[in-house]
Amino acid sequence: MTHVTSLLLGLGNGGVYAALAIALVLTYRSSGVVNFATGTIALYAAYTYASLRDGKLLVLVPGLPSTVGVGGRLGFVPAALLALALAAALGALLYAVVFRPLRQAPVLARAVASLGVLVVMQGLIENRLGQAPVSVAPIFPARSWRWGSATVLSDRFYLAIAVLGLTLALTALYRWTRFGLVTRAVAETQVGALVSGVSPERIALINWMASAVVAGAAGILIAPISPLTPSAYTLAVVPALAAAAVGHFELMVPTAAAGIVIGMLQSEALTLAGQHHWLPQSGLAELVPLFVIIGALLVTGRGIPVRGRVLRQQLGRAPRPRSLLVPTIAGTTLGVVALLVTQGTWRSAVIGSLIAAILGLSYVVVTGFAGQVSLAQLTLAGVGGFSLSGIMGSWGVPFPFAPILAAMIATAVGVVVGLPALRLRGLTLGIVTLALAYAIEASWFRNGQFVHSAGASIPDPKLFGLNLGVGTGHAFPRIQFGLLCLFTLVGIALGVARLRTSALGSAMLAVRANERSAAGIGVNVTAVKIASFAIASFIAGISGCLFAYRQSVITFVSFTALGGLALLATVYLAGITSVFGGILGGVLASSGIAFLVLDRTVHLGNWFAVLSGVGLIATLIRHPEGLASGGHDLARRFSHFKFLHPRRATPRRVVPLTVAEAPPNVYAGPALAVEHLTVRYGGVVAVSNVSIHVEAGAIVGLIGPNGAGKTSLIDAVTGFARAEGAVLLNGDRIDGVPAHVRVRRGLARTFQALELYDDLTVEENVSAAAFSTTRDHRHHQVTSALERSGLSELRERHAEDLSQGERQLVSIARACVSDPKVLLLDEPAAGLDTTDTRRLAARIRDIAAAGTAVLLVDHDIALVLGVCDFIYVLDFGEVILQGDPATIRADRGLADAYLGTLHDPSIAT
Amino acid sequence: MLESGSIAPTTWRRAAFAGVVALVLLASACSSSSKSPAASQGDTSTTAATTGSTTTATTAVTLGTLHRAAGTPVKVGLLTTGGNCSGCTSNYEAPAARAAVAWLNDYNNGLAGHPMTLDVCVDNNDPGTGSDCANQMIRDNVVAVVIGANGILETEWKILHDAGVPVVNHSATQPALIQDPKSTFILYDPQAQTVTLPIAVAKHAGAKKVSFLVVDVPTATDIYKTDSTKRAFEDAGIKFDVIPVPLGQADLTPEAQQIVANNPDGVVDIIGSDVTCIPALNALHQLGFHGTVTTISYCITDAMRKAVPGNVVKGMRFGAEAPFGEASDPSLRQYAAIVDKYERGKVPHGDQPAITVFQSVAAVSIGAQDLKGAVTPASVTAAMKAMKNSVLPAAGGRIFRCNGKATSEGPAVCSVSTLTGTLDAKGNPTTYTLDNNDPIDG
Repeated sequence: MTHVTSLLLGLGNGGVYAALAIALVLTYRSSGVVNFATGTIALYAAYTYASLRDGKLLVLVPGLPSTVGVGGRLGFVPAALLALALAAALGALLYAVVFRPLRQAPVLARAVASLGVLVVMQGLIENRLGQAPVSVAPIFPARSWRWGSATVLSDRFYLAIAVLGLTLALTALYRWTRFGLVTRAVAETQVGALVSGVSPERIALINWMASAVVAGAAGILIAPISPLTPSAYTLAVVPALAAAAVGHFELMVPTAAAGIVIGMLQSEALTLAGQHHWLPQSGLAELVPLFVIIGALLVTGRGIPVRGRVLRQQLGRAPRPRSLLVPTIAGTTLGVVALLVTQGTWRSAVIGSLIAAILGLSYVVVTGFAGQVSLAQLTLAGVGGFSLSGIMGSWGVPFPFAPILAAMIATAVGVVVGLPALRLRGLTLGIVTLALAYAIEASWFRNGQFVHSAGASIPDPKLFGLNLGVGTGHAFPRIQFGLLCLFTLVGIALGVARLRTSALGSAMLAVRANERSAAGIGVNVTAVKIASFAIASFIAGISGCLFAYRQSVITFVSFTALGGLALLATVYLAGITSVFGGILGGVLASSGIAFLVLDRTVHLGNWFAVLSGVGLIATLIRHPEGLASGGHDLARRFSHFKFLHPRRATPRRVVPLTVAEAPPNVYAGPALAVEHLTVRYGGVVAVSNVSIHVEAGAIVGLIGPNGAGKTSLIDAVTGFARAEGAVLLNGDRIDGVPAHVRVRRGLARTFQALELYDDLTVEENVSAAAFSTTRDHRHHQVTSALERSGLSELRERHAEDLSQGERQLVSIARACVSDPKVLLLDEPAAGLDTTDTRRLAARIRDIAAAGTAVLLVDHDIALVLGVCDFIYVLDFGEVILQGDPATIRADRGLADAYLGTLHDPSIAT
Repeated sequence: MLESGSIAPTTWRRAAFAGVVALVLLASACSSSSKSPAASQGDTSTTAATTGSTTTATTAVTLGTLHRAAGTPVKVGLLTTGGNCSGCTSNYEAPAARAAVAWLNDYNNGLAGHPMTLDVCVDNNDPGTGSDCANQMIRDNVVAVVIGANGILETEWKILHDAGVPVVNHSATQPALIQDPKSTFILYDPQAQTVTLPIAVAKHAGAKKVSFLVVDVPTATDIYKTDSTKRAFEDAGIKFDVIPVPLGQADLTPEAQQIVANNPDGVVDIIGSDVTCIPALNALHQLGFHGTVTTISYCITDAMRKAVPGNVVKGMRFGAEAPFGEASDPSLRQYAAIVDKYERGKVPHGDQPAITVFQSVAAVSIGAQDLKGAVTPASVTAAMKAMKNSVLPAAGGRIFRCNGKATSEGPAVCSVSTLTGTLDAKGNPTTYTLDNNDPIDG
């Protein structure tokens, strides 16, 4: 019965989480913004409601009186309605000023902008109203109901019911009204909405107002539970995000249910910790959101749906460093000079920038390069710092082994943080890492069982009797420590730049661009993700160790989960996709030099925070991909200029076939044998009992109308779709082998949508697929593949700058770079003109002539009939006809049904 | 939007602002962890209004006997969070400390004949800035440092302690500080609020057990793990347990239920500011808790008075560093006169961090008044260790002596008295009682 009571007493907090979570979902569904400011909007409405009940209207505009009388205290209904109307106005304002200009910015940019809104709103409320808590009279009757030994508080119960009622009403609104239908349509595809005559912007505006009203209603409902303070709901956003993630940021009812369950389980966790002393006495409640979110996401395995939009943008370009020598020397010199000319607090700020820059680089690796949103990097730095304290203090391990060991512990924890990345992408992953960070903070950094109240202390680093410590007093901060930080940063920056140009770096960018296509060119997506988390965590751990050396005592205050969010915002703003951006992030970080300059030169007092938030938003609107992108564009324009000219001077030549002799084919059977393959999607049979053989050196066509199962077949053969039946590569069974391993065994493919990595150069695109072990051999393979495709002249160009025909050739060159035994081409002629198609046909023949078995799927029947030795015709998932081109052409029924007029002599000859 | 000619520099400037975000969020995340109270400005006015501003107006207050310091100036440091960081409530610490310095220079011979100048460093409650500030104090050759109410005390203390600079704080509870034999001075017995008062309340109520409701951060929970706390409860024959409150949790019913279930007739001690104690008091009340509640002075604010029914708080006792809200208290009347004279209009009389920082600055001047010779951190420390029993200003007559013998908890503690207030039905403190205020043995 105790447990029933403790579960029921969690309804209050559960109601709070559920209410905030549905506001989060509503905002996301309608505008694709994971709105970290949701709690603050709720808070604004709650404060407004509270002051209206007192007969005053809250005015947040600076310069005006903070409240004006409204002629007497208002009752619940008028106060609530007026507060909600003002919340709606706030929603409209936020849309118009912040999120509409950012509507086509990357998801992460919009999330960062919402952090800016959070800072501005919180700062305004603090400045206008002060810190004193404001209490709100109960809305629901407050009684305590008992039956047996179980107790329920009526107002908490009614709160939960009210939130559930609101949830159901919203669900009904969005399901059954025209407005709801239109909103869902816009979320699916903005193009669709445009062509059906609906303005997506007006819909977004109305939805922003609606979600602000819901957030406001949440704020008003939960206000009586706990007094209002400017940071009241800030931390509640973590469990609320977890609840929203359980509902995939889409489904209201599961979201609300998850919120309530989290609250109830937290309450139960407290009871359990009280009863069982072997349980952790700290941080158990903070572990609950993590367990709920991981449980739910791993069971369903779905992430946040990416909303369809006219322009889908991911992160900014991750430019390839051109020369390392000049920036390294310039940067190091600048750093040394900055350390030498400063002292005291100023030098300390330079060092703060250096350390923050290292942490910034860890974001660059995991998020900028590999595309994995981690909100836990600051926490991982904390893991490094706290581990260092233990390693040096308790075990007596000396410098530099201690920080390396500590960073390795951070790496291990980072790999655990990254494990959800194997199932999740984008911001869903980010939210799980935030929940993890929050749990680590509570159960380790803040836990008195591990860290005592004097903090974790760290002895000075010493190497060969040389003290590298930060020093105290007049000596603080010693130049030796500054140089240690500088050289560590330079080393790590060089390492990260090198990573960007390495095979692993290309693989990371491939994963970031498109996991499916990365697997399609033989990248082990799992390994790359884990590697990116491991490398980034190591870097974060090193930065945490340096911070710990700088502080000599560390506490949880420096490594909070929310602090990590703020740091991500800074690094994102600086430019998360490049080494330069990461370092710029360090300069702009709160512990860095730019902050000190502002603090000492501009005296804004209380308004500093508000203006910083405004600055963040304004900068984001101007540079949605971060400040560093400006510098990169300049560099890029320059390099374009450089090699556009030679290209015009030398007309592109198609390199004659210079392929070595076909490798001796000891295996006599077909290179690819597909036996009795069946693919099912739920109850639908996409491919039914199909058998196909492709001999080495042969070109086999696969045709059929849309929906015949062609792509499903290719997906099944290459391991992207689950199937029954057998797939044999040179006689070896490969079904059941992961996709990237099939590629490595010699089964290559291209994609209908090409899936090139637009921000990589042609050479890098091809290189990403070259998985040979030695660098020289890789280089040779890439050069040869480019030459064979006539792409040598274009090797430095970015893929996004190419014509469709060139892109197609890059895609094929990428698939062929490792001399596959079998090549599956998925509609390579789509979007090509006649000239390009002819070039393509020649290229396919060359590939086959070199001994590769080619399976060609295309709608261009002329091309298929022209180049193929044998053709299968697929319809409704079954092979309805097979034979050589003449046989296919002779089949009148087929010709009438699908082929139409198809005698194009230009290709057939 | 901006004039296109100046995009680059403007953007840079704007971007640089963004660095502040980190700080703001950091501070907001930890704000509730620090023991800094949310005592509001309005707090004072209400209490003063209800308890007798009339007496203040009629009776003359003496600032003491003029005794101006005339020697070479010495620097005393103040580390304060200031009021500009999110959740920071120490807006008035710096002006209160300035008033203290000016008054002590005029009336108490400064620091052993040397006029004190105040070296203020605002740390924004950020550990990095805190270590910068602590090092700045050493660089500036301050002879003693007062640290106000903040959440980063351990960081700043360690640096100053290692450099041998005496640190004065009014109410640290961290064992490492309490047990420092070297250069740490804590003006209020850490156990006064956390042990002595709850045991006294339990004995008075005939209760067998005390439950502490504490925000779950090491600085707040560590004191309950010390042997001296355990021993004090064992000696009194009373049990205790600690119910940690997760940071940022809105509804405290689950915690209150723990107490109702496990200690239904006992004593609850709520260690937290009004942000924690309002929902705790309401939840305990709603769940029908029959026992006795006690708390600390940071709970007693206007917000609490407004949010919690009078019958719930009537008769509730709380520990305090000064008789806050008792405007007729001579020591607080003197304090009010001093801040009005030297920092007129800048310090609300009831602001708790301001009063405790005032006490701390005064403790340096009074503690080291017999110092002979050069004023250095070491000589100030030695003089304070050798001080006689003295009355701490603005503290309701509390006696302090920093000779390391005040309590068995640790040599840094300078006082053993407990000042206990009792609330009336409106939540205002009616009477304060001062116990254990005997002179400390030499």
